[in-house]
Amino acid sequence: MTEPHAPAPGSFVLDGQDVPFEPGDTVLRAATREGRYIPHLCWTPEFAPHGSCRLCIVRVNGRPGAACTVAAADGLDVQSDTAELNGYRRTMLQMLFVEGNHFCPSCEKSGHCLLQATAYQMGMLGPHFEEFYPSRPVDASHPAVLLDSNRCILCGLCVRASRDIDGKNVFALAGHGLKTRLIVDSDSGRLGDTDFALGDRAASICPVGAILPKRQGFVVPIGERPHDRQSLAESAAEAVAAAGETS
Amino acid sequence: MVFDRSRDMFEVARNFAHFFEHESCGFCTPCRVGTALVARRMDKLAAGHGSRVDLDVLLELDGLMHVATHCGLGATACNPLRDTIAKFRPAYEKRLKSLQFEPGFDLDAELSVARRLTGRDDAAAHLGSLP
Repeated sequence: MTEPHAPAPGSFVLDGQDVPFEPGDTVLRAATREGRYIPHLCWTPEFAPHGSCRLCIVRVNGRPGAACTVAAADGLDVQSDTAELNGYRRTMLQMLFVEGNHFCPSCEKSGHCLLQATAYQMGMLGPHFEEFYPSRPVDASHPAVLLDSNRCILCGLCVRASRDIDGKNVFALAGHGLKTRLIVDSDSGRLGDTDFALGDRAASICPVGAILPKRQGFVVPIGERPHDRQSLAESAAEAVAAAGETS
Repeated sequence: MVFDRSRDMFEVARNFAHFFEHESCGFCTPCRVGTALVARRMDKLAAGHGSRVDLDVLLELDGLMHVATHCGLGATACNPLRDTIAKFRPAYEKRLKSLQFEPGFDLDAELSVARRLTGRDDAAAHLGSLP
């Protein structure tokens, strides 16, 4: 038994190494800023955390918690990159894959998809569980944007972007349990009957291929896409730096 | 909770599994999908398609949900499952079809189309009759 590592003031310990934090930081934000990767899907530095994907599960002083919602504090001992937690993350990624209809080879988002990239990063080799193959509609009613809920992972990022940045409240998560689904705020329930626009933040924030711009198929070739060129730690750190400049 | 000896503890746990699948709010991944996976596995066992691997997967899901869920509902949803596997394991084992992996569907039934197309229905065209 080794003595616990005592971190410097204004920092906590993540997997044995100090991570400095700023006032108001969560564990995930501080770690990501430092280039220390903690897997996550439903979090971006632009918005208040949601805490629903649970990929950022860590042990804080031994207790489990979502790193995106745990406030950074002096002297916390945070474990993230452990066999136990990475195993849980892999299982939860497999859950997300079997819950929806995710066919990477035919998806325009492939190479740009956070779910796919995170699954690669975590060493997920197959679905492990039986596929649910849900029957979900594709909404192609909008002239510029395709809404394919087969790929939706219910992260709520479009809900937050439409509400907090666009001021339109186009999206919401409705239903409960396995029937939870993304709904659209129009009488017909179709995206084409809302004031949603291609320039909205919510149109570009989807981490998977559920909300895609139309008529842009494979403009960037496979092999030159964001997750082909950059590690998840680098792209997440860039996002935190960009959010810090604007706020 | 008190049950007398006439009660099938596997069916008690299966009922709980369906209850928690229905009660899950769907907010977090491990509970939303986990409760559904548990209920489906229990149905698979009840249908006589289970094997030892399914018990391992059920306990794996129990371990994940205890740690990773957002709230206490998901964290405790598998308690009836875990306790009955620990204390009434024969109620599970008598349902296991084999000690090896068994697929969730009936492979022999899936071959019925091939049998019809080839006009065969002899013993060698059925999986169960192979040595």
